[in-house]
Amino acid sequence: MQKGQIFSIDFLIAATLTVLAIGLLLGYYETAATYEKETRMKNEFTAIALNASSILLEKNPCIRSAGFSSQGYNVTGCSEETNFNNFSKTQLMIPTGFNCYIHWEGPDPYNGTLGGCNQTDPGTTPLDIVSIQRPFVSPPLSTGLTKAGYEKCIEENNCQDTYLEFTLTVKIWK
Amino acid sequence: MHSDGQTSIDLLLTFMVALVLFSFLSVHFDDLSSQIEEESKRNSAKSILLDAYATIGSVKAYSLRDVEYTSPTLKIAQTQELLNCRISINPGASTLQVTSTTLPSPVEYRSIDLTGVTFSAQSFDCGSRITISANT
Repeated sequence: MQKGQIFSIDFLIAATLTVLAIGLLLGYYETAATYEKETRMKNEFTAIALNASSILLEKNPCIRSAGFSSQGYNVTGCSEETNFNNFSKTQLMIPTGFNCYIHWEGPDPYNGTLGGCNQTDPGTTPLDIVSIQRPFVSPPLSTGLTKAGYEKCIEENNCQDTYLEFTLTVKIWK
Repeated sequence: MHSDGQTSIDLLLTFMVALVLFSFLSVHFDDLSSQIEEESKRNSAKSILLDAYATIGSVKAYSLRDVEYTSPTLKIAQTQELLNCRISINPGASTLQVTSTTLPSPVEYRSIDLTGVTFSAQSFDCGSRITISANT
């Protein structure tokens, strides 16, 4: 060391290494905390999206011809999409503070978007967003789901006249 | 010049600066620690809220009957210490709320339609069991 010199290179190196070590440790904690927060948020969004889609699909069962259920048929995954817009955000149990975009896509012109939520697809713009897709079927409105059509669909694998295929997309973000 | 067995002034300085640094960090870590504990309690309460919400949602969506629901308990993650906690379901106000005297404010979901579902108790302690049914 020379006269007037306070810190040696050893000290400066030690101090630098200590600061780096503390910085790395804090960085690790911050990353872990951010990851945990994002996971928790996505779990919450997924639960809300699943809940909303289940209510929408299950509370709007497809129109069945008379006597269908009494003859022992239990139809699942069949919903009446023309009634979807009767449901509000509150009825779908999407809490205040959460944004939603709910869209169903089938053969033209049967596509639609829920009026109670955002009317435009946010895409992937929000940083934290969850999107789920649920396929369902819906019979043509004029006939409803008939026993004959249902049996023809099962036996002949010809379902074109029995139902239309849809995909329900639910996006939730904050 | 160093003599045998002499501790250098550099090492002493390093110790002194390290001591000051750690004292400073210690104060902040205490603060950070209490913030983490507070956040942990809040996250735990949010998990309870989400659990109750998801159960009620399933009962409502699938028109389930007589579902026996036991909510999770509120604990401090590090020590597993049980904390007081209460779940309140208010179909009239469309709110679902988790409160605890250890939390500065309740965690809640607002504007959720809870009609069409009946509860054996609308306010109950976390960890206790209630029956939830969809109205037919």
